[in-house]
Amino acid sequence: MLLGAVTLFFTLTLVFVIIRMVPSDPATVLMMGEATPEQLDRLRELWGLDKSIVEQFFIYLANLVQGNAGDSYQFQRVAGMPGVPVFDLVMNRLPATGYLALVAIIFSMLIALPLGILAALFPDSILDKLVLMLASVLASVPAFFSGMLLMLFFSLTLRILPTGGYDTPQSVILPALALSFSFSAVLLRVTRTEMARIMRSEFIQTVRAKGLRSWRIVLVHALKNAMIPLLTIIGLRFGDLLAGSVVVETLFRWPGIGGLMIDSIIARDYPVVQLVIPLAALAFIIVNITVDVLFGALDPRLRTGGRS
Amino acid sequence: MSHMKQANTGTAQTVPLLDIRGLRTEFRSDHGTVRVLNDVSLSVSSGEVLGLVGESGSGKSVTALSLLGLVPRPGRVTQGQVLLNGRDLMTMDERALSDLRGREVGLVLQDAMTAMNPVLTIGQQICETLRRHLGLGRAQARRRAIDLLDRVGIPDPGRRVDDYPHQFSGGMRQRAMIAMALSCEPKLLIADEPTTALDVTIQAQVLDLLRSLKEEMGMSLIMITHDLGIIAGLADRVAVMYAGNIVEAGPVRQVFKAPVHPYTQGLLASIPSITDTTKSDLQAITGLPPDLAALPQGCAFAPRCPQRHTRCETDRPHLIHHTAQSAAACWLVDPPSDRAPNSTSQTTEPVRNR
Repeated sequence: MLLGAVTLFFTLTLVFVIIRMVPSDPATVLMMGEATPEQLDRLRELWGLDKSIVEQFFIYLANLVQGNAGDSYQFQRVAGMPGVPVFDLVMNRLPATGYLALVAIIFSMLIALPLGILAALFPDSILDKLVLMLASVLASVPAFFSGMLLMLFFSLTLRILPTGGYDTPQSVILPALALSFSFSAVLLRVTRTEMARIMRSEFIQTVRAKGLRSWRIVLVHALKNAMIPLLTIIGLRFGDLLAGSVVVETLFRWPGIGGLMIDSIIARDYPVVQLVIPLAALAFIIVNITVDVLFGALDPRLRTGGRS
Repeated sequence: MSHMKQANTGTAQTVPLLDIRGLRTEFRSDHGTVRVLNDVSLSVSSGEVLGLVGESGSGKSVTALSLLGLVPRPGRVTQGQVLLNGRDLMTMDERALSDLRGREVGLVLQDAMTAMNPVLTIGQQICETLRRHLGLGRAQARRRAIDLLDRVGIPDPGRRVDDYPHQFSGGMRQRAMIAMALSCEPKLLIADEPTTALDVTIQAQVLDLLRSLKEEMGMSLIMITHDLGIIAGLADRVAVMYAGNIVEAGPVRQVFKAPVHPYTQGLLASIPSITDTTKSDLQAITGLPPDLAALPQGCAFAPRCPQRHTRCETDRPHLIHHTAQSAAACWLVDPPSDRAPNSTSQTTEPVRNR
């Protein structure tokens, strides 16, 4: 928990400093060279960008603690007038990304678990080699490319799924698939390795000596043990999923925070950048804390307060 | 279960409960084939305790796994028969075999910590066997599991049934493991070094438990161990393994009193004695256990044998009866005059009570 707070603060600071080190500032980007130097200075003064970076940082922190993340620079009705609060902007977009990530994780498990288990049951067979080859392919094709292939095939050739948007329930399928590919490659390898290792362990011999049905041996005894490392990987690689969502959301016009992140960085929309990126870090931290809690549920040896 | 009475007396049994004939198990790899079991023939009568002894790597555990059809890849049973009540297990399919495992043959392994699933409770692990083989319902199975834990001496079984293996002490885990293996009252229990991981007092308790449960349930027991003391105290008959072969077999009393095979003699001589003052130095068998991938052409024990002669280095001896109940695989053994040492017909002849 404490570590999470430290990580979060570190992210806040880093984002704050880095976005200000990027060449060109919000005023010039937003006015697109159509303003006089005096007008630009007035804009900077309005946004408090004329103050020193340390001063700006403390103002930002003080506001953030009070729940005020400021207004977006680019989403303003009139230049210089109060705009849309960043907080509303982000909260509007957050559910879409959460939903996309969840569906992507489910797709990844649907791809990785059955194939990984099958490969582990027949180590070094042709099936095993094919599965590992598939994992390499899934891992090496970037999401923007697999996304375009999916779009080409399912939307343009078969015409069964939309090319993008958020309007229909089917809309989530293609972006989630594109996002799940590289993630499922990781899960696939871990499932394969862990299941193969567990199937060789001594307790599996006991279970087989008890005459249990094979499906029970694999799905109850082995898989329950494999869920522990799998969960670790899901937690650790959750960041990849968020990073992937930036590309996928842009490609599929998915109204999540990935797209917002890119737009705001390009527009040097400081208030948005300063909220969205730490928020992504927070999501990563929360997922990992959840994973730690779930460990206790999955592995009785990690529970505290039990009888010895 | 009353059919156990006749076994201890060593009287005639027409069909032994378990009859292993010429079992051979090989592990294949890119580096060649390793014959872990060469030619194992054994039999166990109803209610009998057979001690299977030998040093690490002699094939004791693989024998147990082979007869249950559980040899791990890339191992494979390549020949031989395993008759349980006259039915050949080697010709059965996986499904029929799994019906039999846990139901008619129970298995107890050395280290209950690694032999139990760490993420399921003791109760769940006992219940699943009961439900699989006896078709008990959830509540019935649980009641039975608590009974079983009580029977193997777990205190407060109603509460401990929901514990996980790591919450049990080593001795209790082994007791729970025994309860699990005996849950369906199998006719045969195979205990593979069940007390090796335990300290001496706990070891004695677990052996007592095994002995009394065996009497109570009238089952047969194959006790795999490298501890000759355990064999002396528990077994009716003993079979000594070396490099994948049975080298000597017979009634415990007879084998221990007058061992025939030089390896058995060496094993018995290596037991330290505190009463026998003439035996001051610890005797050891010189040399190392053989490399199974590069066995000598003749007797596998020949390189370490103090009594070897030229024939031992060229011809492999087969198990030959030297009395009605005992056999040894050694060229020193003189068969009884009425029995010709025709080796090929003797190889598959199981050693059993007559």
